[in-house]
Amino acid sequence: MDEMIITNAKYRIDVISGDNASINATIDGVEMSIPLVEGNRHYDEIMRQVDAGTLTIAEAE
Amino acid sequence: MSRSKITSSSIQDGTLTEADWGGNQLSHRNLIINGDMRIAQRGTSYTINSPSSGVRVADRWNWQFFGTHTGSNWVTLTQETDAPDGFSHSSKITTNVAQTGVNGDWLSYALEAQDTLPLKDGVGQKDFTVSFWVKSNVTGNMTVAFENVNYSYSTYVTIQTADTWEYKTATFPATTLATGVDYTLNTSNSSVKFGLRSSGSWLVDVDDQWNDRSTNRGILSSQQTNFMSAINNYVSITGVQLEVGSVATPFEHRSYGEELARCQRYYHRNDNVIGGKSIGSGFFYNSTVGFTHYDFPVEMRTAPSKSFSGLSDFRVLYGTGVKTATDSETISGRNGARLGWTVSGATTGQGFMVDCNNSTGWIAFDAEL
Repeated sequence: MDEMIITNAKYRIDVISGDNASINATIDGVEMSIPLVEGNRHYDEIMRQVDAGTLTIAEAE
Repeated sequence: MSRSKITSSSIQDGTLTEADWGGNQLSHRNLIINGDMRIAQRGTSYTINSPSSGVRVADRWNWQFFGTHTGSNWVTLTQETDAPDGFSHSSKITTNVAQTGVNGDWLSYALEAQDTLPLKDGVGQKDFTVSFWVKSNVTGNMTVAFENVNYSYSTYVTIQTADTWEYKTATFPATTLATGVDYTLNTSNSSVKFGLRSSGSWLVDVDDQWNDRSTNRGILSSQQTNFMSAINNYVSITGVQLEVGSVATPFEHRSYGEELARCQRYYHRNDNVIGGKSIGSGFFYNSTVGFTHYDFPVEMRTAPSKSFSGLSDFRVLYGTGVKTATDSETISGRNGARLGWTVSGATTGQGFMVDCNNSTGWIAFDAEL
């Protein structure tokens, strides 16, 4: 099965709390901001690919 | 069994009861959203030039292409105004490069689990019927399949005349295999698929029976015709209805506004058809970051992903001038989002608004299944 093509995954910090708040990534060619919420299909697929060892999420700067 | 027509003779005692119309509800019986393909928030045309997890033109419908494909720009997906009587739009796929390799290609509609509750029958599932209009320049067989996390059922309909709208129905029998389905979830537990072509592992072992997906992962009928075998082949579809019972009733038309709102639970796009349209107002948190809020038109299925046309399409308007954001961030919930805008030289606490500075800017939120 063809899966989402995810590149440039990187955490973004909430400037108020200082905690990771979202992930910026390019998915199927579209730049997106993805919430850290299970049930969001982009987040679920990112975590699946991370667990499979095929994707790494860069830490926020 | 539902009835397509209620007559005086079908009302046994002079009182209209649920049994008189076969147990199916009279309104909102169609479990498919945007079955008539009128809503297309993402645009009306898209050409596929690379593998992906699927492409959406008409809202809620996902054209999926699995396996190796020949050439580039294989197909173009469009929303069309060609439609049978009683409908205004259809969804069309046109082949740009003939496809003959090992693939599984189909049109898919994912149902939200809690919206499939009408199908529940004890620990199993009631019978239901899928009806639709289809048109193609190719005659042959099209798979109609229902897929769940633990079982699937595949059958097919036959397109008999080229370039002619034809009405098709497929009934799926009740099953006791649908155990373990959680009808309270906002995630997907099932989908309906219409085949474009299939070969290899995408073929189901046996048509016209419920198959255990743990041992049979195929979904498309062995009778499936390759509708993408030549350039300019096309398949158009509209008027899709999925309803409880073994009889297809006339398509349930809903208002445009109601259907749009239903679609916006899964995807919302704010197009700036005229420059200057505001997308939010807020304040500068410090000298480099300002926040605006964005309310969604309806509560979305889950916290959505955000995308937009690009920072250059937006401007930050404040008391004494205009700033250009160099970065943005988003924290979204189901009802709205906080958008952060990175600027320079801002005054903490000062108010501002963000609008589009041209006619092509857009911002979108995606909570699709």
